[in-house]
Amino acid sequence: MWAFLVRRLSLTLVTLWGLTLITFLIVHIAPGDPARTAAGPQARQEQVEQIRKLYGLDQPLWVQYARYMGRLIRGDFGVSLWYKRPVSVELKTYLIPTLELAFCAAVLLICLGFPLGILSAIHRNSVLDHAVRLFALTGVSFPIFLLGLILQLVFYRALGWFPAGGRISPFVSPPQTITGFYIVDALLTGNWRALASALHHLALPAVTLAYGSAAVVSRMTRSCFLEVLGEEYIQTARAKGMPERIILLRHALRNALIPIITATALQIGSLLSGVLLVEVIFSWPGLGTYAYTSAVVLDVNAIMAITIVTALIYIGINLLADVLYAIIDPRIQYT
Amino acid sequence: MNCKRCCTFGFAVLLLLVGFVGWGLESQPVPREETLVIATGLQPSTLDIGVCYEAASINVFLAVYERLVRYAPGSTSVEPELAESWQVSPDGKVWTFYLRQGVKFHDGTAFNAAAVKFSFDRVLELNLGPAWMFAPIEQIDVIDDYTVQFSLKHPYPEFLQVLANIFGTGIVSPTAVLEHDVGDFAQAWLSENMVGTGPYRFVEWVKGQHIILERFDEYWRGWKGREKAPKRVVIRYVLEPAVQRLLLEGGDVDIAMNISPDDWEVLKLNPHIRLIEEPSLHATYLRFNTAAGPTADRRVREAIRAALDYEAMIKNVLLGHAIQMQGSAGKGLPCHNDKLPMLKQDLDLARRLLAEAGYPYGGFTLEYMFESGHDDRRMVGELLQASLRKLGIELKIIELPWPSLWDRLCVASPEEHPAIVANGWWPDYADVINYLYPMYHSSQWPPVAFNIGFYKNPLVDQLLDQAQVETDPELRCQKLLTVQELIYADVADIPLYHLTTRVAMRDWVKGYVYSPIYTEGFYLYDMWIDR
Repeated sequence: MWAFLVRRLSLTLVTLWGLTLITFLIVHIAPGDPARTAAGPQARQEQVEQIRKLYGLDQPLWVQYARYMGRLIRGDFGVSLWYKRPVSVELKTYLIPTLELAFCAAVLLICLGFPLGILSAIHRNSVLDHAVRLFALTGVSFPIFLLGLILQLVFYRALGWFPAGGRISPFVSPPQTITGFYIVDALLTGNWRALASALHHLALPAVTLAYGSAAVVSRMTRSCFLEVLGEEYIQTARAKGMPERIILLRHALRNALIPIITATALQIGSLLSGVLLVEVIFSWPGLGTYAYTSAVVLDVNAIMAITIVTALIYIGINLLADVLYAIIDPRIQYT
Repeated sequence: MNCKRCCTFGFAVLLLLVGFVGWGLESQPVPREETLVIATGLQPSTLDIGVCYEAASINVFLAVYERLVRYAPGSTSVEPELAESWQVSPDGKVWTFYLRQGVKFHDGTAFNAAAVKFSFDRVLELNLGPAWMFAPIEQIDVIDDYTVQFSLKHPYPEFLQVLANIFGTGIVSPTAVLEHDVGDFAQAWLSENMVGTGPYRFVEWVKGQHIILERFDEYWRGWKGREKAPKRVVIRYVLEPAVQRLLLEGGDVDIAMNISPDDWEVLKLNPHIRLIEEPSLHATYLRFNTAAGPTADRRVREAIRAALDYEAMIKNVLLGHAIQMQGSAGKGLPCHNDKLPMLKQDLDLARRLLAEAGYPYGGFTLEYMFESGHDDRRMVGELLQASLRKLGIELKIIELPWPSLWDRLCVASPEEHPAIVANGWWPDYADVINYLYPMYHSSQWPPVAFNIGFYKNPLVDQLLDQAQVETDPELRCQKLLTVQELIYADVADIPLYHLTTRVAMRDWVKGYVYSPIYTEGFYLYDMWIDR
């Protein structure tokens, strides 16, 4: 197992290096002058040149890349051409809200997708099964943008239960920063008002983000469960008079989990791509908004940093899934 | 087992309790009625008044910083702000400003002539963003505590207009800057903080969410008789226009800056919402490549100008949210040439001109480029495409993101430029020369600046050069009027429209006055809430 982990981590480093190279080339070869964009449309040529020199954009591409990698190894993402601040500072500001939202959506996805899939499989062709099918159908067919707007119309405009956007009410001071995660910080500092506001603001975007993925996971869980329930060892267990609950949880669930975990890991990864739209609809100050602005203004260092961090998260989730396989199914051995 | 069930049940109840108690806590009364909430789309990249050059910063800069002079509410005339009066030397090269006394910065320090010199020196030293407007400044001298003198390299007739513009002109507290200077002129600190003398002081910027401003009790104009002025101003960043509308209708924001044309029509039916729509000074043009390809021929350019259906453009493409331009400079500004004809579609004239140019049946293809995100420019392109097809000309519409578009345009060779570029222009200050010089003087050809059509007329160059240093307002105006006539006759481009600025607000917001030049800004000191 450890050998596997070391090998996977080494491969991750190679993947990341390849990623930096490709992204660096794309960003620099793509049409557009980062210095001109950073200087602004009305900037004079000398101002553009000043920025080009300041950020080392006047150097040959390979020199720029070597310098970038040198800084990256030391954990320095460079300075944002657009915001004129260290990218790491900006990244932390925008990444944490995204992680908070994605984490809550992932929890919702698991809490909704698994049980609904299992219930649907157990009560196959019942009203409950049809209801879950409808849930899944709407989940996969509703565009995330539309779903967000509908939820806002219903739960903000019509019922007034939840706010339409933002991470915390502008009338509530954010909790004192310890981790940057509002919910954690509010809990740690006992700031109940901030906690309430943060949870309140999190509800609709998290549901919007999780809905489609939960639908996929519920269908996947259902089909895997049904497959396992038809296996002979389940029939044997039933014939022996084993309680149904134990059959389901101890025998069926564990055997059905491998493909479900794969699907869930992929869905959690895909939350990161869905988060962009959700952030726009719910004015969530996250990585999506930051990525969009950086791409539009060709903020080279910011684009690189966002790509690397997103890739790291994606790789991390998949690695976790691989490790989970081995824990769940002792037959799987990594060498 | 029972124990497990109890635990599960207990946990569920706890969650519900947290939710409901939390909801209750959040809905505790807050001073909402004393707060003005403004929803807008984009946040600025930096709050540094010496560096920032984006429309997104206007709302906060206008509230927190003050300038020596400003544009009077609702007009383009300049009035005193931190300067009480001023004098200009006969040669127009020395400007002396007599400053207001008893003004305090938000950090408690006193405003004086040294602060003015410090602020402008900082902008010139940094040489970023808006610095180009101050390039004619040679030296700034502090005559006494409340008198400051600007010596210019050459006469600069629009200097007062430049000083009234929002970018780079706000006076910042030198004490605050020096306290946070780490060899960068406090750029890092000022990018997230503001210390000015304005009616509202900066409280916090939660990135991507909001900026909060608070009434500055020691503001020099005083607050007597203005008890209803908002104590707090929250600028909320809401990217999605549909959500801005929802928040406005729900009463969670008082002013929404980005209402879509469709929602605008719906909001007209809401009696509690006031809609204000005014033409802006933003101008949209179709810039011709006057140096290469078929559009190098003036007759072809004139034919294309005659082919466009201007009435349909305003009515159908822009749904009435724009006014047609008259000539190449901002309509309504002093020295705008009101005698130039309003453009109309005339396909017969277009055919005749094309025949004269040797293209009786068209037979060529032109490239039309515009920046992504500007749907109006795409639709104008489609409108022109339909008209030109009748003349046998094909129009190839190309949409590019801004960096890519500029990459195409910042090339010195006209042969590599598209035939037509749809682009917009925001003036920094209310002077027609701010349109004419950058876009039509031949010194501004790519890759240097904005004369992206390679237009050149020696007489236009000469008149613009003279207008730049002409201190007699009437003579200067005459030259600028002639320049506009020449540009029209040369068909350097097609001036299209001034988009309107749309501001939607709850009926309890009072005192709002639209500013044609600080378009996105608010004279918050004159505003109040009457619920």
